[in-house]
Amino acid sequence: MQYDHAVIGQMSRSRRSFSPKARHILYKTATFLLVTAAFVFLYDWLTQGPLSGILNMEDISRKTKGYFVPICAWVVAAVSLNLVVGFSGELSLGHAGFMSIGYSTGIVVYNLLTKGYGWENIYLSMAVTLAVSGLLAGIVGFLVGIPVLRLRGDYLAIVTLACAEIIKSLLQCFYVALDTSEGAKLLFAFPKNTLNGSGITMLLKGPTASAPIGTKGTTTDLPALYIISFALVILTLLVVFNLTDSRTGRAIKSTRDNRIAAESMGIPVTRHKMIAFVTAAVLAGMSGALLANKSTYQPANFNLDMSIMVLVYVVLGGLGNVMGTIFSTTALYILPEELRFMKDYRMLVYALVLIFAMVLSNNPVIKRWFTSFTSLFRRKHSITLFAEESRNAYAGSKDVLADRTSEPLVVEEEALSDTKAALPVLEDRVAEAEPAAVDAEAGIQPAAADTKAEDKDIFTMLYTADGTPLDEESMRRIQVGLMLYDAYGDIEIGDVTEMKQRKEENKKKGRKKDKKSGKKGGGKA
Amino acid sequence: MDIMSVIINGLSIGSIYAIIALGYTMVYGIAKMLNFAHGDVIMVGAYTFFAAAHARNLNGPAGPLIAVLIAIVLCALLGMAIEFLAYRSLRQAPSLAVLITAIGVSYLLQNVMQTVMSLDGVDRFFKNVLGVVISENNDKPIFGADTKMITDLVNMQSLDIHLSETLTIPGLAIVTIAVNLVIVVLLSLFVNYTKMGKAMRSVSEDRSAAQLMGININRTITVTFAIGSALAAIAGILYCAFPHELVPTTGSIPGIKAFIAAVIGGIGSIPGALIGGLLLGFVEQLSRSVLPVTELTDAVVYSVLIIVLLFRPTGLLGKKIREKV
Repeated sequence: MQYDHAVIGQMSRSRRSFSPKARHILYKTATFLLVTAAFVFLYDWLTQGPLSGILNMEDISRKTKGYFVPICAWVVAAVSLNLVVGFSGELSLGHAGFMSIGYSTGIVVYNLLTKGYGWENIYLSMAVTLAVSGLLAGIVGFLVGIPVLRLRGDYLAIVTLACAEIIKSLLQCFYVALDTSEGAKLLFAFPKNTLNGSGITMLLKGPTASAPIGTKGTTTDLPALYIISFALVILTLLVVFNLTDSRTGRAIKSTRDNRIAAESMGIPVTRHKMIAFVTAAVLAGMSGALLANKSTYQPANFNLDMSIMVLVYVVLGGLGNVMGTIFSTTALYILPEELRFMKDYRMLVYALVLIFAMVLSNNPVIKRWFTSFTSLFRRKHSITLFAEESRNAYAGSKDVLADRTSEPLVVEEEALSDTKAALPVLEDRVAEAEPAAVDAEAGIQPAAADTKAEDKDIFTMLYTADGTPLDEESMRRIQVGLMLYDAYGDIEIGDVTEMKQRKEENKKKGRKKDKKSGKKGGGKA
Repeated sequence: MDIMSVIINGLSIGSIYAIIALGYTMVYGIAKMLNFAHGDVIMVGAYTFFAAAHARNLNGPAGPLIAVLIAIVLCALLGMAIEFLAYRSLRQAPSLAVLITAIGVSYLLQNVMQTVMSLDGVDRFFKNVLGVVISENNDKPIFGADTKMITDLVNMQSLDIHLSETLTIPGLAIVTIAVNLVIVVLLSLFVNYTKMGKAMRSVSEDRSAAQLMGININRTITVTFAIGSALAAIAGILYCAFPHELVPTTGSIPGIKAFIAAVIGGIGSIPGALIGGLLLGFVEQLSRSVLPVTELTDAVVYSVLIIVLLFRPTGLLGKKIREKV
């Protein structure tokens, strides 16, 4: 097997505790454990269980009791928005729109089930309510996604905003009543309230507040709602983690990192963005239904301010960081409630949080400082690339590592970032193609394979197998990226810059040497 | 409401949207960023006018005009400050980061204004530090968290044209439309025939090539922000004169609608902003007079955007975006 450029890397690791995969699993497990522990602790506390006696926390104010369910709802909303903004990289300013769909649907469905059909079990009726709310919000999300996801960047953001405003203004003119006089019947009115008569209960009252849900008779069944909220958070975490770690999730991330590279790898960009968008809409609908347990909201509340508040939770928690989102949501919900100062200047603080988070995280100087700071906790990468003829680049890269001797080769930053974007997909392709390649190497001819399969290296096989051969340049780029990926897990672009500098220095040294030798030579001549 | 008044109202509110949209479109075309805070500069402009017009030192006949000038200058400075403090360090950042920052700036302006207006002793600050007495004629303080109106400061009833007994073209509408036309003409001349305008067009076309040709990118963008914010101040005064209430969140709705107008017209295009603004104003007034519930007006207005973008993804007069690999 021959390579024009077999490029391998060498790195020094100051500390290598976990592989990226293990670290990710650890991160996920920690998230679940933290959420569960927090729930067990809080549930016990809020319901005056056995632990609260030990820890002496009997006196809980009514106010504190009310935090749990809304926090869960906001966590679900923020984590789902993170799916759109953090993972698929599209700014949605219309998250509150989907929440309001879930909110309204939740009220109608829950009251229909409990008051109309007389369902007694709160868990069952809440489960059905959440499912229907999520479903409806998902359908609306799909319908909104059709025009929205054709657009890019700022246009997309403004159209999601427009869609949320349309949803808001339609819901403000929507009236629903439950008629229990002869069986359970729902009455609708739009755009003006024409519903009246005896024996009807107004569920949605247009622009004014509607009936709350999650009630048993007239009182709210809080312990049951705690469990339901917790279950919803766990469901959200399961959905989001499973989605982002799946093949689809990697494809979504690759469309975020480099749309063109992803598209050229054969990923249907719009479809994957739609998957993220609709999933987020479903979860947002469910969180909206959960918010409906109190009649403090009305359709006009689900406006841009609310979307931006959820966005602040996401940005502060970290784009693409689920655990961070949970923490930031909890903190930013409780702080304004508990601190008088925060309550008055809440939006002021939010605005500063947004600006500083963005300016600081995008300022090269501060970014470098942060990187040097976080690298104390992370394993360190410093990659130097070497170009060299190699027998087996992919499988034997570690062997070649041992005798890296020749000149360093600088990979263009662009090429590396392209590859980085394509990597998640490559992983899948490699997993598929590997058995075939191993067979080919061992001399076993696959039944329908090219007769020249032996001569071809694994990369050619990967791409011809898909029916779309790549040109040499991209092949080389991907080879470089894949090898680095295989050897070191993740590649950081910053390292390449550093390496470039080093190369430049080498060059200068080399030039000096040349000059010296040149002078000497000249003198002799 | 008959059709004539719908047309007059539509044209005048559309003109205001067009003036705001011009600011959006200039900033977007040249800095390639969505300045979400533009709507709040409108609000700051209106508040500045409100305060300046109440200053005792400006009680003469030219007082309101000087107040307008003060608002324009202050907003231009504010626009430059926003650009310098928040957006300049994000020139190379992804558009998501810039957009989130812009949203942050928008909320910051709203809340700072809210805080300033509700603080005690703002008028004392003006009196003692700047030497300007700001109060109404009966020495009632004008600051406070309550809703303000500027209708009595902008009185244009002398310009009313009575076409018939039932139909009157209000003077304010005439002034608004005239101001809009003057701005569009001046701005087109500026962009097409001055050196700075040429620099703006080249920065908008290709920033790095413009830089190689010796154009100062930062200065060009700063001037763009100054012009856009100055326009926002004019629009803010006209919008609040129309009459709309003056509260710290006043700017967000016309801001969003004007942005939508700019997108409908094709962002980056000056005639596009004019067409988009007038179209949006007209649709809004028409649906307000036809629909049974006022809440549905917004749904119609926003649907126009979605329909236009479905058929022309870069707006009515927008250029087709070529994708570079």
